[in-house]
Amino acid sequence: MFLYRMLLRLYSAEYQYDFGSEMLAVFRQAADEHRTLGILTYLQFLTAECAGLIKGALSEHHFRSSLAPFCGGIIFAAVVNYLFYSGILRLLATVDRALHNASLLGADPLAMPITIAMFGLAALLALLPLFIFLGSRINPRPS
Amino acid sequence: MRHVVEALPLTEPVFFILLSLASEPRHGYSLLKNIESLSVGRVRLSTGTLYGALRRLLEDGWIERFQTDDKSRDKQTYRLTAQGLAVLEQESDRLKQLSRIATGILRTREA
Repeated sequence: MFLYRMLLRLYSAEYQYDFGSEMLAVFRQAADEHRTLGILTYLQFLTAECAGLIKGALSEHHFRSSLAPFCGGIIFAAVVNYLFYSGILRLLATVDRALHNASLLGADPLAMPITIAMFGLAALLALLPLFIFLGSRINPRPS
Repeated sequence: MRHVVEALPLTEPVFFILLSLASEPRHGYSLLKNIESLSVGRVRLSTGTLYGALRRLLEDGWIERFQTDDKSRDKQTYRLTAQGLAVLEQESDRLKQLSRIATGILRTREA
């Protein structure tokens, strides 16, 4: 019973609320019945129940993660933008340093990175639908 | 909610759950016992498999929770909806058709 309760925790809180006590009650009834059929049958039953719970929890998470492709798309977009932004920033920092060293920069040195940051943000927002679409193509929603 | 055509063929546990609920509303343990009896001991569902399937069937609107006098959370009763019955009938027709084809081919082979 303790193991069963522990394995039930693999499920989402919502699932546990909806079905947890019911599953536990059904398991208790079935366990009482199998206990009378001998130790081997009882062990087989316990093994099948544990395997069923783990398998059920895994498929439940897979089923629930139908929003995952969209989250994946957002993360993908953020990473691409970060790489793009940090690459450009590094390049500009080099240019900036060269310009500064040559005493040609009269403007605020922070102005350029801020402009690039805003450009990165705009690019993130503009490309977000595309990345979400790509993410959902890579990992289609399970039926 | 899935379309009936998309959902076919049904998995064996789902088919037996719908079949079991077609005769009368049942709660979890009664479903397990009835499915075991219908399949002559061949299909024994674990609680994890049973409730995973029940959750999907509830979300698809093929079954619903049925209010009985016993309102405790650990003894919910389920019954088939009209949509669930339609799915079961379609799956049954599909299996009949398959069986007819197989029987025809086997008969011609024997002759």
